[in-house]
Parts: sequence; structure tokens; C-alpha cells
Amino acid sequence: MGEIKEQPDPVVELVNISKIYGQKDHLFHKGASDVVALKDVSLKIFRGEIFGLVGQSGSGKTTAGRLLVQLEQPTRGEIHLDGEAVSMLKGQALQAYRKKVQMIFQDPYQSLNPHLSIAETVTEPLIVHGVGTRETRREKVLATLEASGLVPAADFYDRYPHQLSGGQRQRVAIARAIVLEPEFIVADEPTSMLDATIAIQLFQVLLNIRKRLGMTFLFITHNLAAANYLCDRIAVIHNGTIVETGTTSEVIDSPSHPYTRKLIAAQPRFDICPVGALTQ
Amino acid sequence: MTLLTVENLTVGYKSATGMVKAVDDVSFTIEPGTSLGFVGESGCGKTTIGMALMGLLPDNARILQGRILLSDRDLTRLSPDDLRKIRGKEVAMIFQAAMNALNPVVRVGEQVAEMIVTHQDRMSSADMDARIASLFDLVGIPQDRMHDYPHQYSGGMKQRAVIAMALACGPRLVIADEPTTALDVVVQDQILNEILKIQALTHTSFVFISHDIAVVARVCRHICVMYDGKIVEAGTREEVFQTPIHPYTRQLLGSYLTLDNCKNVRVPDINVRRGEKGWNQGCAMARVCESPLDDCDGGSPGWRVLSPTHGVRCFKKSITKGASWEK
Repeated sequence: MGEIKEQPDPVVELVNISKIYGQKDHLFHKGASDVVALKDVSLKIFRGEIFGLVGQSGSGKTTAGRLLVQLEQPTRGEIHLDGEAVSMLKGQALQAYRKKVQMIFQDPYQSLNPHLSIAETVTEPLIVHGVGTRETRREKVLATLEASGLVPAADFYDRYPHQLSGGQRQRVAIARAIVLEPEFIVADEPTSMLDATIAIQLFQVLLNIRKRLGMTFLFITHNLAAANYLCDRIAVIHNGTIVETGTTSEVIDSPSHPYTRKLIAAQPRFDICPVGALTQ
Repeated sequence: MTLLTVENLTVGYKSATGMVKAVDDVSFTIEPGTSLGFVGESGCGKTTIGMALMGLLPDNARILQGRILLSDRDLTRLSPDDLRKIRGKEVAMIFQAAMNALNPVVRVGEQVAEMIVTHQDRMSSADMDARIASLFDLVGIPQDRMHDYPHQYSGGMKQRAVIAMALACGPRLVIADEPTTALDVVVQDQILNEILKIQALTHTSFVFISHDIAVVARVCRHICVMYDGKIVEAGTREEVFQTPIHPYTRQLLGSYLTLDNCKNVRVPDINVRRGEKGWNQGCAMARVCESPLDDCDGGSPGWRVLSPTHGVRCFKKSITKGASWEK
């Protein structure tokens, strides 16, 4: 969690991004009101940092992640990767982009294909992007599994997701995301389904990967404590608008926005609150 | 009188390699109007306990041993028809994923009504509306949302609707399986408050199942910590949090992130594989334990009683003095 100095060139930049759902009149909801998921969001994420996007469900944080990996297109605004505008990419340019930007999804019980072995799951991105030969891919996959904390990797290589625990599955999902050595990874609530001992191990895996491979992360979460542990900088998002951005200690220790203070108050603190007491 | 007594419950799943014990010799009791929490990692068997209590185990599961006594009836011996009469009426469940527990093409009010229609005598539609309205009040959904469809609800409202369904027939026991896992902290806080209020009003007993120890700590006076199918530590909330004995409990508490502890949080060794050793050759946790003894690979540790409410399944004796052994 070393301090990252502000660099002139961010890896990823969102410039005045808005995303509005339901703009068109459909047969069944003419004139239905639009849902504004993101409103004029601007963010800079610098190389090598873990940037936390914190907010409650419906705040637009997952939408921001999906825009970044180009699963959806912004209604307005621009996304830059390494200074180049990347919205509206198609075909080969989009495929090249996906090699640089990968995603780790929330639920490891649903994001892995049960019919594919661990080897097939992690090899698939290499095949899709035409990286390596059959032999070098095997080496690459084994090394990646190891980097993701699946040790010894050979033991996991031929297994299937149902033979793994939740934490192991999520490490497979991490291996799948980093096997192409992307520059930037979007991790959308990667530990919300896992218990505390496993969550903390996964954070350690992400920190190790950052150290060894120098990747940049966007960490999406509703858990401020997790963001506090993992992130260099944090942005708090509420109703599609960023209400506060700063270094982790600035945001947590001296929150300036009332919503940030509300989030901090809602954090579970089991050592203080007596049994059965209502928090207000 | 004790509401629920579970004795030596053992549940196995048939798999290609034989019977896998998901729940192994689990015993506990619940008094009327109290809450019991189960914590443990995914795959430790806590959901299987909930499903066994509801009589909703999948086809490949077998209750190998044990009894589930609701008052004085053994639920494991009831016919499917008799079980159906109890399920929903006396024992109800709040399911894990509220978004999947609701039927997307039926109005929410009707789904709550279905529960009442199934179990209770016919009532006029005006009475039914009043009953549903009072349930909506109880769980904190505006009454005018009764005729909406699930997709018009937010995640928190769907979870409230699922709670309303569970409470519809005034059950004596509600099993809440990860009721807030899919929700963010703010909504989670609201839902837990709601459940505490409901419990104070209705004196319903709750079984709380969660991987999040803070959730269980909010609502339960008694907590069971599970590891690989067995209860490894049980006690009051204060006993489990203030004097945790079992290494897994200690790991779970030590690695729980709060806003104040991120500098001294402990990270368990990632290279050790957990939950694969089983209880047949010694303690299932021996390889993950921070300070294993020689005994740990020998026999399976027995249940050691530390106080009338506190017990642990671990060989280590040094932590507390004067603890006695139970068979």
C-alpha cells in the first residue's frame, strides 16, 4: 500500500462519462423515465495503483466497471487507455483492447464454466488471443495459477470448478484475468461471497500480483474496510456521481461528504455493538 | 420448552467417489424466541443444516444419522405430506438470493398470499389484503407496492418481500440462509435492524446462516462456528468473540477487516489447502492450524465443554484451565 505519486499520464481515464438506460421509447414503456446510472463521472487511475470505487448497490459502480471493459458503451463522454480514446471500438481493435483490460467478477460460483477444467478456463484467453503454442501455453497457465495462489499448480490443472472451494474458484477467476498480462484489471466485488479468512487471502494475492506484474486495478466494492486495506486511492460514488475522491487515508480518516460518513457508520463493528442492539 | 433439538445430525451427499459427509454429527438446541447463528466458510455444511431442517435436501442427499425434533416431532421421520404441512407454517426459510427466490411473473403481494392460501383456512379477499398489508408493514415495504412485480423492487425490498413470505403464517422458527449476502452494507444494516424488530414483536426463533461473522454477531446471542461439517466451537456471542479457543474461530476473527484494524489483520497461509483432509485422520484443521500438536493427526478431537454454553472441538487445553472432556 505504498504511496503512489500523481503521475502526469494516467493508465485509464474517464472523461465526463454518463450512462443512461432506457432512452428509447419501447412498445411497452413509451415515455418511461430514463435511469441515469452515471452522471458526468471523471476519474484518473495511475499506473500500478489499486483504485477503489466504493458505493452501495445501485450507485453505478458496477456500471463504471462494465464500461471500462467495454461490455457496455457510455451514453456520453470518453474513456482513455494510455491516452487513447477507446469508446466505440469494434472488431480487431476491440479484441486488442480486451487483451489489455480484463475483469474479475463477483461470484466465483457463477463466473466459471462448470464444463471446463481449470486448465481450459485459464488457457481459453490465450487461445482466443493467439498467444503462444500448445507447450508454452501450459507453462504459462501453470505459472499463472501459481501466481494466483494455487500451489502446487499441477494439482489444480486438470480439476473442475465443482472440485474447488469458493476461495480457490475465485483464484482461478483471478488467474483467468491475469493470464494475458493485461495492463488494467477491473475487480468487481471479488470477495463479497467469501468468508473473512479467504477474502484476506485474496487481497494478498492481488497485492502480490500488483507487486510482481505491476498491474493497475480498479477495485469495486461496498466494503469500505476492504477498500481501506487494499487501495491507494478511493472514490466514493453515490447515485451515479462521484461525491469524494482522495487517498485512502484522506477519505476514511477525514471524510468530507455526508454520504461517505454514512457509509463509514454502516460498517460492521462487531466488537462494539451489543447483541440485539439496533444501530441508528 | 425447547423449540428445536438437533441430535447427532449427519448428512451425506452421494458422489461419484462415494458418500461425502457434508454435516457430521452436529447437535444443537434452540429455545423459543432466541437466535442461533452458524458461521463458516462456503462448503462447511451450514446451508445443508438449513436444508435438512426444512426437509428440502436434494435427491442425492441422505440423513445418515440423527434426529431433528421440533417440539416433540422428529422431522426426519415425517412423510413428505406431513412435512409439507409444517414447512412454511411452522418452519419457514429466508433464502439466500432474494432476486432468485421470487417468481418474476407474479405480483409480490400474490406471492406472499400463496403462502397463506396453502396453509390456512380460506379467508375473504378483503381479509387477505389486510393480512398482506400488515405483513408489508412489518417488514417495512410501503403497502402501495403490494401489486408491483419483483423487477420493480430494489434488492433490499426484494429481501424484505422474501422475509414477509417467510413470516406469512407466523412460523415458530425461521431459517435465514445468508439473508444479506447480496446486499451492500447500508441495506444490510437496515434489514438486520428489521429482523431484530420483528423478532422482538413476534418472538419467532431464528437460525442465522452466514459466512460473515459480523452479521451473525448483530443478531444472535448464541453462535456455532463450523469447519468442514462439524461444529468446532459453540458459545454465547461474548464467549466466542472474547475468548475464542478454536484456531478457526481465531483465524476468522483475526482476519476480519474493520476500518480500524487493517494494519494488524492476520492473513492465514494461502499455500495450505483447507477442508480436504477430513475428520477421519485426526483434526480436519491440523494443516491450517497455527500451532498444531502431535495429537492432531492421530484421533479426531472430541467435544470439550468449557462452560454450560461454551464448547470447543480442539485438543489444545492450555488456553483454559479446568476444562472437562465429554465423550
